[in-house]
Amino acid sequence: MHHAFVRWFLSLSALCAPLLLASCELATNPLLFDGSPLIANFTVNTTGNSFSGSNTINLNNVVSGIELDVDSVSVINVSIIIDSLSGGTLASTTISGTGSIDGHTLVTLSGVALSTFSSERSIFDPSLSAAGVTYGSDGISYVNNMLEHPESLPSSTSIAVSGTASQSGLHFKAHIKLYTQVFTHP
Amino acid sequence: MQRQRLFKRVTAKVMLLAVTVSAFSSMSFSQTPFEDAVKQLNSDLVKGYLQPFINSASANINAGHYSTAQIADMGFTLRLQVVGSGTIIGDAEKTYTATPPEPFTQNPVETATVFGEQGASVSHPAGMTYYFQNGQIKASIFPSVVPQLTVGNLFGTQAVVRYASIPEFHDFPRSTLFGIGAQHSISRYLPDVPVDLAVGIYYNNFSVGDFIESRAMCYGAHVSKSFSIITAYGGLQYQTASMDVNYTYTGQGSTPNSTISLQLESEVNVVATIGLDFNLGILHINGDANFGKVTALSGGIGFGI
Repeated sequence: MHHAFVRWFLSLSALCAPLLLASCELATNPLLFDGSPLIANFTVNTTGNSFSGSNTINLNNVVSGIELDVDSVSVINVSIIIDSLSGGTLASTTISGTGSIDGHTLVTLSGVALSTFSSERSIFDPSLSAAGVTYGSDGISYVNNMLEHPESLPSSTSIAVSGTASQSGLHFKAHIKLYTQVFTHP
Repeated sequence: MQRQRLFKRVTAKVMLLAVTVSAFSSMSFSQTPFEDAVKQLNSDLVKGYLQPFINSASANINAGHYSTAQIADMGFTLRLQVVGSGTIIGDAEKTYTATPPEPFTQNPVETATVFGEQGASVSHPAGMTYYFQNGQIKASIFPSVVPQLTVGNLFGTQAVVRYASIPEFHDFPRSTLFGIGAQHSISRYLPDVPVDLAVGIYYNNFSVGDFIESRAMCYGAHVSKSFSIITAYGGLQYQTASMDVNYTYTGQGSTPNSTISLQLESEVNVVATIGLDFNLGILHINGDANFGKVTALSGGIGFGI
């Protein structure tokens, strides 16, 4: 009798299900994630006024920690930080040069003070164009073309910087950060 | 064997129903799509993205406490119900205005809430495009269900208790709901009024994992009139609900372990209710509509006296 009552009560409760769950679906659209930022670090220590360096990043790390099937990835920001000035390197020292990815220009600097990037700033910040910063659409296109196929990303992609400065004896660190957005399958 | 299969099927359906109690707050960090969607949002965006969800959840949790204002002064009332609620999700609940992150142009755009479709996109001259988070719940009615026990009567007062503790179930972490309230007869002071009058106060608390804790209060004035086995009832109530959301933001610009802690308030405050109750001896069936910033429907099936 007790089991029959429980079963009857549960059955009546279950009758509510079609009404309550009418047209309710979860996870119907692809989830978007911000990809793990990729950072290329450079240390400049030179007695002259020119500098250059190359570093590699692994584009596969963009999707690290994302357990869902990745459909595609795209770049949404590139930033630069210049810090750890030492050895008499002045914040007012200006630099001219380029940052590139696999030889494709990401950013061009023309007489840009080191202090411009004392805090993280996007290379796409429109206020930086007056300061001599120009982003490279070629480099962005190149990266986006690679990221469209996340299943075949290279494990090693070269980020290079080179340029000259208004001061000899350069001691600082530069960091280029790549931000992406990850699209998963629904 | 057939009876056992029927019971298993029915039990599975009820479990699915029970899961919906936590469906509106299934945001613990065990990586459900809902959680994944939220943790990408900075504090400016999460409020707009989740506000309709909070409004709907609070409308659901604050509904269904009563189905009559007639309370005998003294006597024995014991009634166990399953109370289901569902908030109607209209177009207003599907979009909100958001500003893209830099370096994209800081012009507000209309994009999807958690109940919406695909999020908006904004383009940059450099050839980049930013996409806002897509909606993750497609629903015309956002449901919840909870068991409720009504006991009384003592000096025209009945108490209402809700409790559900749902273990981890597929994508939903452990969820706990507790509610308590009381309804007190005003007709005992105004016996000549041709309708039954009562007031009620109810508190509900629910938590899911470590991600969300929500508290809701409602204060109501109730009226009803019985015609044989049918009771028409209604009321006006003022309700509040707040939801504490805590998560580690992993989106752009975040630093390791950057925690976002927000308290989001429901926008559903004043609600008018109208409903019908069918008293079939020990079986009670009721349904009502609750009109506020959002519209919630609730219904109950109960047994008792």
